[in-house]
Amino acid sequence: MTYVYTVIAFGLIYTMLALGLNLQMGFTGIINFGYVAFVAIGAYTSALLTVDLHWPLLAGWAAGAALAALASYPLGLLTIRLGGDYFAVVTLGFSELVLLVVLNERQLTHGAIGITGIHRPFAALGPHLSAPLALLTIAILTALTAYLIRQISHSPLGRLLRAIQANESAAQALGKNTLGYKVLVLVVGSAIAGLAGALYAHWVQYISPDQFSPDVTFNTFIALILGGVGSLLGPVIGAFVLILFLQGSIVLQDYVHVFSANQQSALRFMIIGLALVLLIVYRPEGILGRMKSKRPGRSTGVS
Amino acid sequence: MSEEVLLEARDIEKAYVGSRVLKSVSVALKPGTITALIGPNGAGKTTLFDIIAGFVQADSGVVRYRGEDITRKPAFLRACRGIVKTFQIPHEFGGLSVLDNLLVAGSDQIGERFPASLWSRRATHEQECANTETACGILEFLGLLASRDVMAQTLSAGEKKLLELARALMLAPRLLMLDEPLAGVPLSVGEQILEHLVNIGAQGKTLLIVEHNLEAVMRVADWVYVLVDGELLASGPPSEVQRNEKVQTAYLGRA
Repeated sequence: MTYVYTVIAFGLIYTMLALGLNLQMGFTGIINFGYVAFVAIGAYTSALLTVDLHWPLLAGWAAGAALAALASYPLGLLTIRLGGDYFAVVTLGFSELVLLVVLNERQLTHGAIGITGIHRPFAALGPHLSAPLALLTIAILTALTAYLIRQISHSPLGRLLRAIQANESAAQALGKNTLGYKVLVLVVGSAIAGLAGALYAHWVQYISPDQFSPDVTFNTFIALILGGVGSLLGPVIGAFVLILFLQGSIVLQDYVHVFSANQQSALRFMIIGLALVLLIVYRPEGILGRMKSKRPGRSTGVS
Repeated sequence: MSEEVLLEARDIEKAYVGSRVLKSVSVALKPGTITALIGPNGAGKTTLFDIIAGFVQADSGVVRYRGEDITRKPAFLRACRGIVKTFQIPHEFGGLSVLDNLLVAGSDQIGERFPASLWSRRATHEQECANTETACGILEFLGLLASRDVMAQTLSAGEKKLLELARALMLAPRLLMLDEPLAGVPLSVGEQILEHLVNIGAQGKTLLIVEHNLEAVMRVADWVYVLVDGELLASGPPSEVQRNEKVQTAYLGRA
């Protein structure tokens, strides 16, 4: 049962991550290859504040989201004007930098050893109750995030973000502060990543730098592309498909003995790669991509 | 501040990697007039145009709008102040409907503020309704109302040009700047656009038009600037400029 809980929790956390990335990439066209940096900042902030300084859990989560947002603000201010590819490279560098700081600032972050003893929500109620209740908390926060993204999407703000993605200089010519809006989207997306990171830390109860490798960023990209970039429900579907596949193939390992464990874990990523290629060839808009074109006001050309 | 001049660009200099595109060019736009900027390819028309709109920074020189120095103001702020440009190649928001293209242009939208947009739903809705009404009026004026729910990317080249114009009008600009409004459209649509421009001019708006089609420009413009090799060759009312010998050899000869 605990294993099922963990699969669902990871599915929800990746859903949240994909929702934040969708706001940046799907709505506004910002390519952020350093997404994991903000997950790490959220996870470490909340873990350190609650473990070392005994902050209450909710305050730790809020601080994790806030600090991730705060870190993205100067980054966006300085580099968002670089435009597409260059910005993507800068963010990749930024995430490596954050990881190096986490690894080497041992007095602050506990370095490579990581942080143990992070509390789960409702830990006082014992393991049998705390797991489902913590899961419920994560589910509620994920639902709230999805609701926030939906509200943004259906508002004039969402329309403007799609316009910026379609043609930034045209939006400028119409009096829109496009750089300001892109920084805003970066900050909001980073806050979501930070919150997801904090939830992750408190679910697994132990974090170390190697859990925040660029794989997290690319898994989120995969989830989003699978589900459908720019669609509203796509991130949810994509995240659960990805997690079920990643975790499911681990379970399969116990029953199928054709390949060694190493071969199987390599095979997993080959299959994901193949699935992505097939998807992009035959259904570039993602599993749920089609719903975009049903309503006017959603972008269809970009995915 | 005198109302004699709405916008003035003085002693504008611009060089790209060593080649001087604009050599101390000065222009002035009188309110309520249609001014045309003509010249052969590579004369610096579009550069001057973009410097006035704020998309390109001049190396030196001053741009004044309603008496205020706006030389360093970014493009979006100029648009908010009433200087709105269209693009030579239509820059439509392809995945948005024609109506949504216009609604994006609405200025000062409550629904675009974050996080205020999340709770001021009612104010947003009222503003959306008012903007939709304005937008439909503009679409009707330009003959695009039938395509209001069509995706902008499916429009024809001529319709996209009209959409550019419609979107710009949504901001109720004081100075409307059009970059080759007739380029790439069939003759009949061109005639239509020209007619619209005359009507817009008659509403008291100031227009600046960069155009290749000399004959068309001469028909609608009140004042013409001729730019050749980054220098002003001549300026004056169309009839006068047309008779100018220097213009005839430099521009008409090559055209």
